[in-house]
Parts: sequence; C-alpha cells; structure tokens
Amino acid sequence: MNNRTVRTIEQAIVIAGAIAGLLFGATAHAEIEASLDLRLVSSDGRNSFLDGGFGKLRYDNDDDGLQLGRARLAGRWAIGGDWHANIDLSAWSLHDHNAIDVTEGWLEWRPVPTSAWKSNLKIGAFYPPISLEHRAPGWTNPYTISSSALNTWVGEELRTIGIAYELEHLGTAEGGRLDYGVEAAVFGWNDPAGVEMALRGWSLNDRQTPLFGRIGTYAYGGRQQRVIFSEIDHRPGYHVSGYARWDGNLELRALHYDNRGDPEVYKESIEDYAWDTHFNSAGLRYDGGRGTTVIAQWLDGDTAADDDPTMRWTFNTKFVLLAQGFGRHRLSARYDEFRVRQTVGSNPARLSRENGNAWTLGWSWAVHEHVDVMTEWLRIDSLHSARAALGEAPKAIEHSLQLSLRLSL
Amino acid sequence: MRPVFHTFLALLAPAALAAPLQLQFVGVDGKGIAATVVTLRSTDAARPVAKPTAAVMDQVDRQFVPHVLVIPLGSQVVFPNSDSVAHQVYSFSPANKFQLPLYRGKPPPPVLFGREGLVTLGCNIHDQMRAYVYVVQAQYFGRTDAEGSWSVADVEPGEYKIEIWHPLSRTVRPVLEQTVKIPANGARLTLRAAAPLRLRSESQLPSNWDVY
Repeated sequence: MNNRTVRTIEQAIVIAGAIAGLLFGATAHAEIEASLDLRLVSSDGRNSFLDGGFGKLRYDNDDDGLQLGRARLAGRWAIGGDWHANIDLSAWSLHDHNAIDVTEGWLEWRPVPTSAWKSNLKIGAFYPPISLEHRAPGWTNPYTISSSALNTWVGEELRTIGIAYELEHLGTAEGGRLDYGVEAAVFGWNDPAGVEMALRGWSLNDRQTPLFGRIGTYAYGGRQQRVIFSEIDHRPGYHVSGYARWDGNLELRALHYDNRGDPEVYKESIEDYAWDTHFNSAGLRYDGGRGTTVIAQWLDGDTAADDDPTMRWTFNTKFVLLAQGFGRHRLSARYDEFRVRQTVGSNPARLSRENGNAWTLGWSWAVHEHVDVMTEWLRIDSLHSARAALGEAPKAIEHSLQLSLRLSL
Repeated sequence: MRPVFHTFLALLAPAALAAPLQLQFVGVDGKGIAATVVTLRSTDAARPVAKPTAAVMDQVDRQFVPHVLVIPLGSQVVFPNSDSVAHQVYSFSPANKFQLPLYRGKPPPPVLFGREGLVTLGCNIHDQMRAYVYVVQAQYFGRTDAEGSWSVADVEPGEYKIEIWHPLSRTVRPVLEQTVKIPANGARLTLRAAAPLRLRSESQLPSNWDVY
C-alpha cells in the first residue's frame, strides 16, 4: 500500500470511530453539541491563501454570497475513574480535503480536587493554552467572526498532539485573591508548524486546520495543499506555560513553544521539512464588572527549514481587543499588527518580508438560547514582497463584511 | 397572610419576648450594601440556636442557584441538577470537605453540613461554577436586600453578636463584627463598614464560556 492509501484508511478509521463514538454517546450518557454557522459574505479581498494566492482573507472577491462558515458536532462523555473523552468534528467547506474532519480529540483525567491544588492530564490532540479570545465551545471566538492574526495562526498551524499536565492552585476558593497554574506538554506531529508563516505570512480568519485536513497555500508553480499535522523528524516538541488570575477577572498568560524540529529532515510523502519553530507568547485579559472586556496578546518567534541558511524567518504580532456587552448585544473592536522577516539572503533588497495591520469591528446578538447573529467588518492593510512573483502589487488593502447566523443545539 | 400571622403571634406572646429588629448595613459612603449575610448570635450560650433544616442548592444553566445559601449548623442540603449536562460538585473548604459523583437527573443523597463556617462549592467539570454555603450557629440569620436592609419581626431581647459577610468581599472572614443590645421594644440599627469593602465584580459572561 502506498502512503496515500494508508492515510486514507487512517482517516476513515478515525472519522468512522469518532462518528460511532458520538452516536454511541447520543444513546449513552454523553453530552453532544451541534451547531451550524451560515454566512453572508461581501469581500474585495485578493485571491485567498486558501486558493493559492496571497490574499489575507478566508473569503476573497470570488466568494461573495452565501457560505458555510462551519458545521460542528462535538461530544464529551465520562468513561469512568475521573476520565473523560472529548471529540470535536467540523466541516468548514464542501471543497475541503475531508468534508468532515477532527479539530480536537482527547482523553482527560480530571480528579476532584481535595485541596486548592488541582491536577489535569490530557492525552490526544488539543489547543495549547495561548488564545484569550477563544472562550466559547469548539474553540470559538465570541467577539468577532475572524480571529486576531495571532490566534488565527494558532488555529491554522498549532495543535498539541501528545500529552499535557496542568497543576493549578485555586486560591480564590480559599478566600484568596489569586488562582494560578503551570502546564507542561510533550507533543509530536507538529513539525510543519511555521511553513505558513514563512511562505505566506499572517492571516485573519476563523478556519481551523483539521487534524487530517490541508491548508491551501501559495507555492512556486501553483497552489499547494499542505499537511500541517505530521511527524517528520521523530523528535518530540514541548511547550511550557503558566497563568495567573486575580479576583477571577484579570488574567495573565505566557507560553514558550519549541517543536524541536530537525530542519534537515525532509518527508517525501508530504513534500515538506521539519520546520524548527520556537516562539514566546504572552497575553492579558480583563473582564470588568459592567460587561467590559479588554484582551491584549503578543507573540514573537522564528522558524527555519532545510540546511540552507536563507530558509530562516522571524515573525511577530500583537493585538488589542476591546469589547462591551449591552444585555444580549456585544460590540467589539480589535487592532492587529503583524510582521515576518526572512533573516538572511543573497540579496538583502530581495529578502521576503511582510508587514501589516488590521482593524476588526464586530457586533454579536444572542437572539435566543439557540440562535446567535454576528456581523463583522474587517480591513487588512498588508505588504508582502512575494506578491510580486504573482505579478501583483506588494501592498494590498482588503475588506470584508460578513453576517453570520449561528444555530446551536 | 404574613402580617396577620405576626399580629396573631404578638397578641399571644408577651411583648418582651418579641421585639422587632430592623437593620441596615451601609458602606463608608452611607449607601446600603446588598446581598450581605447577617447573623445574630446571643452572647448567652445557654440560648438555643436555630434548628437544622433541609435546603436546596440547584444547578441551572451551569450556575449554582442560589449563589449563597445560609443554613443552620447540622442542616442537610440536596444538590439537584436541572441542566442537561452532568455536574460534579465538590468542596475542599475545611468546614466541610465533600465530593459528589458525576451525575445528571436524580441527585445523590443530601450532604450534611456539620461544621460552622464558610464552604466554597465548585464543579469539577465547569471551573467557572462557584457558590457558597454559609453554615451558622446563630439564633437569627438572613441576607440584606437591595437597600442593604434586613429585618426580623420577633427577636428575643438581649445581647447579640452581629456578624456580616459578603460573598464578593475577597475574604472568608466577616467584614463586620459588633455586639449590640436589643431592648424589649425592638431596635432599628444602622451598621457602617469601617473601611471600603472593595467588592469583586461579578462575572457578566455567558456560563458556557471559558471552556478553554
């Protein structure tokens, strides 16, 4: 059997298993969540990265009209002995590599705390604790339709596929003012992380790359369907993180990530290197008593592939989001800045580079327990040197206006 | 019904044994403070305290209801689950450590609260769920209303220690402790906090957030 066949069989087993699990869960004592997000889109974006362009938006100027934002089916069930199983399936587009695919799936050991110290162990595929925006089920951002550049990248290229242990101290349960926690994780299958950053740059959207899915991207010679979650060098990566939360409403988080990629190892079947990616991220979130929320996050890192010294990039981004709730309504505004730099090249004037900023305005309305409406206006101003290779102007200002109708069980 | 009932009591009982108490708890700015827990305990140790009772702490829309439950020592509390999702209630407060199994539907047997003090409740599945059971050994107890007021129609005259605690006060200790004398004809008291309470703000966020 060739690699492709093996992969197809693997995917079929995982997805069939997940659906069987959910069906079993529906009859046994499980909690099932299902939702549908339909969009009305108007965009003047350049050819989207999903179609092999350097456009920054999920929906470009060919995508105006009705779109499937996301269809989601998720389940959680207790499997005994303080263990729980979780699976999250989504469909993002009917044209994806797999129409339905897994975004997260993990087993969790969650013993009941007998003191202020609380332990939690996760095994499987799940998000590293970076985003302060994604607070709603299914790693959903409740403030704006498109996530910040920082957290869009988390959804596109990062997943902890391995084991994570978290130890927390719940001081507020003892009358104190501080809760805090530390987490350490060891993972594999995240070796391509960094490739999108190097070759394409940042984006702002809401699509999450599924575990067995692809991300469409630009490559010399045309669009490429890249695999993001793959083990290439057989060296595990790690992340360590911590948080501190005062009075339940001011939270600080920090994380260090290193996939310990060996950039000289190449995997023929997915046509990619093990990208050696490191970054630090930090964030702050404050929830005021009158429905005000402030979120600020920062990330700074680098990535390298191949033994070619020119295949090295640094990248960084930051954003600040301000949201105000009014009963069932919430207004949000966010400003992002992002940048990517190739560090070495034969001709310094032709180093690949990207600079940009974005403004996002969102309004959400909880119409009913099972119905939400969200609108978003997004403007991305970016300069990407590689656009010249497509005969485009390096600088682009792209806009989109989206209306989202979200129905949930 | 209630005023009639009280009038009936007043006719039957000797006036000296049923004095009305009206109490208001105010901040340093003079404004009433709502939702505080008030307990009145006689300095006469021989006087009987309130008898144990049966109480309910429900779980609705991933929140405990009520947020604060005040019960006499020795009371039993049942924890029904009105949600479609399973909950796992626990407390590691020294006053009453316990844990219930993960359950939906039929609740486990009631929990006995056999020690005085503040018990913080949590749910092991939904970290944002938090509530308090305040276990008291006192003759009278209750919570202040929106104006910071609380009243009892028939306090037995005598000397009492008043304790006031607020669930958002960032402390498990009372924010005010004071001894007062209730005369036979009742009393109208205004108690003022010695320092600003600096209460925590209560979360305004949907209860299914912060799952990550």
